[in-house]
Amino acid sequence: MEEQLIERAKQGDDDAFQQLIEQHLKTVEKFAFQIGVSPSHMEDVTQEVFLKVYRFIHKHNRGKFTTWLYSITLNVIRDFYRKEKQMKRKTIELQKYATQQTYIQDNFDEEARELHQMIHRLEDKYKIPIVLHFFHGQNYQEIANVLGVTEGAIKTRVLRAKQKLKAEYEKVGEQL
Amino acid sequence: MSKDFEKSLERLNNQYDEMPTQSSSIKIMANIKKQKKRNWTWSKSYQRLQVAVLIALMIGIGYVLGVSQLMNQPDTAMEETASDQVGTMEGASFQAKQAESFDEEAGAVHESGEYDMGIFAAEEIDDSFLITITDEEGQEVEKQVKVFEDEQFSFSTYYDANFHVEEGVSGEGRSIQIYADYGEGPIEPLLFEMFQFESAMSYDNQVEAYRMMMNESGYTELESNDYLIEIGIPGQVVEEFLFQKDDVNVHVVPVERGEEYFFFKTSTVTNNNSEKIEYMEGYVRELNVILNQDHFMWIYN
Repeated sequence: MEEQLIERAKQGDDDAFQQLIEQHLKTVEKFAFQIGVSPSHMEDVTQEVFLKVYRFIHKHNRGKFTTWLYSITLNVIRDFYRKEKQMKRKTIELQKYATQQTYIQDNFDEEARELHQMIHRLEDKYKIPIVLHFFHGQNYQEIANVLGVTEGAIKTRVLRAKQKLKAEYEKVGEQL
Repeated sequence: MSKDFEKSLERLNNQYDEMPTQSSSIKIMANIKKQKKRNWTWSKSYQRLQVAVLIALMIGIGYVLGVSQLMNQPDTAMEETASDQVGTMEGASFQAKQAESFDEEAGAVHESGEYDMGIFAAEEIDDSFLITITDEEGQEVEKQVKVFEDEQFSFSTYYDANFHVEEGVSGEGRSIQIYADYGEGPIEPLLFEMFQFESAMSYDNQVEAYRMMMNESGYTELESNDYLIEIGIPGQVVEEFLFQKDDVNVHVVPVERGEEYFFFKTSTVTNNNSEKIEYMEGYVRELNVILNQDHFMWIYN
């Protein structure tokens, strides 16, 4: 079904492409949020992701579509925050931080909030593999394809990320 | 807090899944259509233009040939009967007439504007577009760029519309090179190169082979100043190397992409190279255009 949609989208069928967006929008937003995209930036990021997918879909002819989509999302997020950094203004940053806090407050219970923040604090090289592995069901090889590194490197990173996360989780758990 | 870490991850995942979607697929699609009209149909319009030019050319040639053929028939008959009587003078006048009618037809076609090759040619060349970049002083400036895509290396990026892209294939491997051009032809040293070894080797062997290539070309290896790493590379950088020869520094980073390695290279010159030093500020800006993560994209997985 998805293969057919991709083929139709490659032929320039905009309805098929819109169906692809509908199918994957939630995944892109979830991943972007987990990687650290502020809710106030979400629409800009998803727009840019699907714009890129639209531009290059005719070139996508090997590998899983979702793997490719995660790569594009990561590239867009990196670039988005690189630009943001250039235009950084403290007041705006504070407003965005407040928006994010309110959003997390509204959508997660206390335990989930803590765990989300712990993941959020991990370095990207640990955060991205663990997010893709635990919350997006990607296997090591698929994550390796997204990040352009070896499967072995991903195995190590997921293991270390899990150890770090678990240790902090248990530490916080004892304090509560 | 639950002591079962795995269960907590699962609970968190459920809450991620319950988050309301913020973007709208309809809005995204509408914006894509808007952008599509405005910006990036360059390659498609280029193809359409090529077809249009070809059709126009064929119609034009067919028309002109058809007309000249029609005019040719009575003249030829006349020439055949008259040639015995008046010799070569008639033939000469026929040729002049034929040339005249050809010019008239060509002029008419040109005047109508429909088959004006000049217009098509001008549009055909223009496959570049404008982007906004931030210059060294933090000012936003517009820049005319083109898209370069390479299927073999599976990447695409932007580069200055006036610059030159060259493909190099040698016994060792394949390279894509970009040379700056500020109006007087391609400038050495090269602005950017991506190189891949032909044969599959381990990372260490590839680095060793690259070093050997540089040494054989007369370069001396120096301690790296992480020039390229600081600019930012769109990929997993392993380490950076610096080579020098005749006041030219060559900065190289092997970039890991799955099981493959690509060697990214750029050049700077030392202060002794007064002839080229003025270009170096521009090189940083141009390299930023090429390596910008919004421009440089790995296409396949």
